[in-house]
This record gives sequence, structure tokens and C-alpha cells, in this order.
Amino acid sequence: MELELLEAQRLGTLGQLAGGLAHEINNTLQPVFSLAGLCLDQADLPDRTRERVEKIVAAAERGRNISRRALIYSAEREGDTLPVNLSETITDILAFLDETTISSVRIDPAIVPSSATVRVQPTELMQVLTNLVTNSADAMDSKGIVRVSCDYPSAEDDPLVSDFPDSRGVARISVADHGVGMKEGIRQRVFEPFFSTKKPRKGTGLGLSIVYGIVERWGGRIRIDSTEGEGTAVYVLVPLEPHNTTNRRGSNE
Amino acid sequence: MNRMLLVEDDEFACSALRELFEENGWQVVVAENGIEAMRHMTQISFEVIVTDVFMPEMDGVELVRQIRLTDKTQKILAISGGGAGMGSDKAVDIIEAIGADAALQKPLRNEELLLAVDRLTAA
Repeated sequence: MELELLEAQRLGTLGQLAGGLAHEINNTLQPVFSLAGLCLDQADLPDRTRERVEKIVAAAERGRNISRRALIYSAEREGDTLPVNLSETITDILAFLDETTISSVRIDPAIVPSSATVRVQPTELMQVLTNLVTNSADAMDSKGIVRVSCDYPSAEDDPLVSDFPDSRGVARISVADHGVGMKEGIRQRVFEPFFSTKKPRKGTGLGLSIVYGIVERWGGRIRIDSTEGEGTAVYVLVPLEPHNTTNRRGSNE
Repeated sequence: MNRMLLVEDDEFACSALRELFEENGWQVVVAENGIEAMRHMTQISFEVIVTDVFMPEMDGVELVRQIRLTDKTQKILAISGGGAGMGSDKAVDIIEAIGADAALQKPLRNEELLLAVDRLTAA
């Protein structure tokens, strides 16, 4: 369980950091909202000044939304899934991972912008991406580029899409590296708990089995393409929410 | 009586909120933390208490707990910006469970705050 504990610690540290920063940002934005609001209450405010103050409020709204997104990672909500905008959330998570987790590996994001949402637990999404990016980094001996993509494929683009009901639509997250790759016999076993090809103390063999369990809970599917000596790509497919709404108290996103 | 106790440790947030509530007809007494708030409460009564959650010395959760030991009817609105290891949504859940009448996440627009105070004091 060593790797799992380390990951839990790392996520805990990121959560602490996000919570602490969000607290400072929220307290800083409160007087901006209050005082700008009082200015706008003045009936005799010149038009140009009113426009400027309205822009201040709009910028503060943006700050409030960023802070609330950061807080998603801070609050551990056991078993609580939320409608999450995948393209925005993955972009945020990758920014965290790029800055804080793996120093010698560069993350190359290819995220298709979309307002579509999926129902997941945000901390689990972070865990899935952390596991997959860490595996890719290990496969490249912690040097190189990990390409993380998010798109919305049709059944022609990806055969796994036909496993989902037609009306819902599917989001696909992929994490690809140009590392050592895997033999077919190994590829077939990677989701088994405690199966690992890593050196002793490098891994427990639980990472991909955890990812598999999480993706199953989301009602998703997972596939691995790998060629020995060329690299590996892991694809996670998740059903889209029927309606693109969020449901967090106090949020206007 | 139109008296409010505003408990807020952040200097800028405190002064802006005070101005907002005063402009809207409240007589505002401020406290930097829960201990100072308790001291004011022994001397004056307040129609409503608006308190931050994360503060040094005595935080908002402890303040609400202390008040509810002896006073079940004091109107309390908690406003939280979250803190290290705790999202403001979780802080809001906790302080409501402890006994605040309402709790909201900072930052708040003036109309959101004034509406919340109006609802509490009208009840």
C-alpha cells in the first residue's frame, strides 16, 4: 500500500495548498465585491466610471470562479460525485501536476474545449490522472513528454464508444508516452491488483487497478494500446451527463 | 434595534463589509475574532451576528458553539472563505451543523449578503 499512501499524501498536500490559497483569494475578493457594489449603487456615477467598475466586478467574478474550482480539489467529499466540466477540470489538474508533481517530465496537453460535463468525484479524477501520468513518467525513466488529451469521439473514432448508449455522448481522456511500452502478455494483466513490472520499491502494482476501479464506478471503459519499445497510450472513456449543469451551492458557474 | 456584530479578522474585508452594512442601515460593532466577539456580547445585545469561519484565537465554529451553549435564538450568519485542507463548502456544512442559522461562501455580492441578513432578521 506504500504507493497508495504516498499518492494520498500528495493529494492531501495539494488539497491543503489549494484550500489555503483559495481562502486568501476569497478574503481578498470580498472587499472588491463589497466596495465595487457600493460604487455601482450610486445613481450619479458617470457612465465611464460605471463601466470601469463593472469591469472590476467582472474580473472579480472570474477570480471567484477560479478559486471555487481550486476548492474542488481541497474538499474531500467521500463518495460524492458532481457534474464536472471535463475540459476545464483536466486543464486545472494538469497545471497542478505540471507545477508540483513531476519535475523532469513535461506534460503536453491537447484538451478540446467543451461545456460538456461528466459525473465524477473530482479527487478521483485527479487520482486517475496522477496515476496515469506517473506510470508514463516511469516508462520513460522520468524524462520526456507525456501527452494528455481530452476529446469527444464518435463510434467511428473509437470502437469502445459503441459500448455506451447512443444518446449520451462520450468523453475520452488519453495519456500517452514514448516510453518502453509493453509486451502483449503484460498488457493483458496490467489491471490486476499487485501486478507490477517496476523495480522493487518503485511501485506496488496497485496504480492501474485503482484507476480501473474508479473508471468502472464512473460507468466508463478503459483501453490500453502499447508497442514494446515505442510507447503506451491509455484511453479512459466516460459517459457525458445528459444535462450540462453544475449543482454546487453558491456557485454561479 | 438594528445592531449587528461583525466578526472578521481580515482588515480589508472587515472594513468593506462594515461600510456595506452601515450604508444599509445597520449599526455595526466589529470584532477581530471569537474571543473579542464574546466580550462584546456580554455587554451589548445584537439582532444578528455575521461571522467569518477561519480566524486566529477563536474561530467561527468555536464562537457558534459557545453562543449556542446558552443562547438558542441569537441569529447567526456565517461567511467562509475556506481554509487549508478545507473547502469553504465543507466549512459551511460544518458551521451550519454546529448551529449557525445560515452559512455562505465568500466572496459574496452585496445583494446576496444583504438578502441573507434580511431573511434571518425577518424570521
